[in-house]
Amino acid sequence: MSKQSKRLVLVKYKNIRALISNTPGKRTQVIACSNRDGCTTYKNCSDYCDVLITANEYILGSRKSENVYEFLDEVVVGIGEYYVGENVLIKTIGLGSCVGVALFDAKKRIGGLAHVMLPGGSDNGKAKYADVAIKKMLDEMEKIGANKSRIVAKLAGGAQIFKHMTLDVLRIGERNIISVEENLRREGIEIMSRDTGGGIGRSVFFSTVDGSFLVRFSTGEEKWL
Amino acid sequence: MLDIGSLDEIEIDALKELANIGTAHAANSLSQLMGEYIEMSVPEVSIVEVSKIHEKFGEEIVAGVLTSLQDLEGRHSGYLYTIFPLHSTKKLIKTLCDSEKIDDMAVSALMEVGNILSSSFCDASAELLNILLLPSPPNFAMDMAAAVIEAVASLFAEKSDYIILFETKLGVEDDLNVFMVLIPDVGLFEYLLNMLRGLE
Repeated sequence: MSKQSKRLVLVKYKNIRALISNTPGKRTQVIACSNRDGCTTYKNCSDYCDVLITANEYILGSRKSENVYEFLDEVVVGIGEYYVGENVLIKTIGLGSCVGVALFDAKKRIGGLAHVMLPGGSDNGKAKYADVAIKKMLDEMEKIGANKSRIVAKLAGGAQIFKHMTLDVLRIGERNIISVEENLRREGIEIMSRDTGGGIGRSVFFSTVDGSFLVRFSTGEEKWL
Repeated sequence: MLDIGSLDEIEIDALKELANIGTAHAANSLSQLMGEYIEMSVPEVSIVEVSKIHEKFGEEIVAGVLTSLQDLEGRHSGYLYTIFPLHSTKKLIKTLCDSEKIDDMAVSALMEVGNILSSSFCDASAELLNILLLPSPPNFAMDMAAAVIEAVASLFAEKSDYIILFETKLGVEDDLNVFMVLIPDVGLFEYLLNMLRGLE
């Protein structure tokens, strides 16, 4: 990535985790910060914030820091798609009844994220099915050096957006979660953490540098898993 | 199986005509509801792949009204999702309820507007295509558009990967954007397409 383009970093400062981006010539932007509730200056992210100072020092090149991880790229995964890679921030937005499944090998720092749309599997090889997405991600991760025995999973999604809908078919969220769980169990992959169910949409940011999994609800609330 | 992604220009035009008749109906009803003359622009029609929905709507929170469509025999069905982006929602509520708060009253007013729009769509399809579709009572959701569309689209996702998006502007100054998303099942889509082809 050239110096001119947007830069994206993950900052770990004390117990705080934050996603910060910088476009040359513009003010550094805090995309998400786990200290949102406890922080008094979040709204304007004051220049006195230690997290922001750490990020800026790194981005401007004045100081290297062990607490800052830079992403080489940001990838958006569409509905029913997946992405596997290293040193990237993988993002998917608008998880309603769908489930975001992240897989991660912490030692090799290889990760993947899928936006699973349907339970079960299919012969047509489309990644919108839980079964297919998980298998394909595992295959690709192993191909670039991950070891299946180290891979763990994190999940979010499977909400029921329309609560008053009497139609049974709309309970697809629940079925998606169950299917994802079953497939992971069959592959012998442990679910480290999860945020599933409920009634509102989510977006997910998955960091393949450290396995951080940020869930942002449509209400604006954030949760780091 | 017909591929919804491969619609040609004539078919898109026919869909546009369908939406055009629908919005004309809707403009009439809305004028009555809002007590002022409402204009609606000729809708833009596009076919969007489900996996690309996020490019269209992003993370913005929108007010939306969902109705399910069913014909009398229950052979064809689909969903119609009416979306009001946040700035449009606020303007609509201001006109209808004289406040900017999204409270129960406002939700019910938005649902009525959504109801009018979807009924108008059904009127249009009956008039133009001879397809009798009955809309269900409206359901309201305030969430990311992508999350709602995805939740509905996944019902038909076994067979269909596309949605049909109508975008229109309403209001005197063309300042209210409204999106209508038609998520048809394969049966309804094939039927729609056959009828549209018959129009040529």
